[in-house]
Amino acid sequence: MLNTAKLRYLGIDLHSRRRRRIVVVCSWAAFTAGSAALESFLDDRSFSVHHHELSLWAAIAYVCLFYYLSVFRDGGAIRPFHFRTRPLAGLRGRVVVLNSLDDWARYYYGAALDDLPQEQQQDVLRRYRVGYYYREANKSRSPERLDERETMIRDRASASTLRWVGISCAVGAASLTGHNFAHLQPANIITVLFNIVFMVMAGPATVILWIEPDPHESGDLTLMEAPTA
Amino acid sequence: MIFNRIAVLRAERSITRQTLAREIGVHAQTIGFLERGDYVPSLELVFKLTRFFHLPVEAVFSTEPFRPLSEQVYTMPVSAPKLRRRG
Repeated sequence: MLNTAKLRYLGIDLHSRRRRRIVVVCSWAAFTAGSAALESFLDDRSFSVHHHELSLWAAIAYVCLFYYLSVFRDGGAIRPFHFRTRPLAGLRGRVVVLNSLDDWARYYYGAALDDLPQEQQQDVLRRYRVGYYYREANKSRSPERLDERETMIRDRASASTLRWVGISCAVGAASLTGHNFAHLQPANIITVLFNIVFMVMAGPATVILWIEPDPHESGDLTLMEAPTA
Repeated sequence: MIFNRIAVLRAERSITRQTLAREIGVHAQTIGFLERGDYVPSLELVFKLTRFFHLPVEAVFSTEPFRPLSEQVYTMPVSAPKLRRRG
């Protein structure tokens, strides 16, 4: 599930799980601090009353910007959760679009044309047609597609996130019981709701970065390297 | 717990994780998880693997730990004809 080719964040090597956990904790601390700062800025009564729409846009911008710059970004340190497919009327299921030779090679053999053995390259060249072609997505062997283990990890992480969001909401509600909300500003509610949105967006990535063990590929590959001619 | 011989079979045939992963349509990390016994594959993946190695399922997967292959080879019953005594 980890994207071994992009397992770096701000120059930090994230192959080690310990380092990944530190980055995750720091990221959440930074988000919480930023969120609190934004809330205190928007909490000002005159600002909130006169620019209540701005509060909403500020919260959206903050959450989106933080997400796309953070380690939790989809397609960053973690492989994209969803394989890009398109629905096509008349066909059951979804399709992928093949255009270049590499697209065809990835679809049939799971690697770019140059990385395939000669026999498979010949087969791809035999199948290849110039133009845009639709093929069934579930038959694709593209490396971008999540395999069964990765799909299971993603689904477990999503379920775990849902549980954590539920617990957080319940704890939040319990802690607010008995408080006087007369002074509550719309900005407060907006910030809290967008914190929940961020939890939903970044939660699965957090779980995966936290639990996935260190990739062991390199050592084994050296040991098991195919003999060179 | 399901035990497997994927690592041994892969080493025997000098196949990299990447190659095996590509052939059966999974990610190379998943092969690592399978070899370490950290992931129990689906029936579909089991059949893909055994088809790739041209072996029956029970030769690759077992519910009990496998004995080392070398041990099995050297304790196989010898069916060769008896040697004549010289002198």
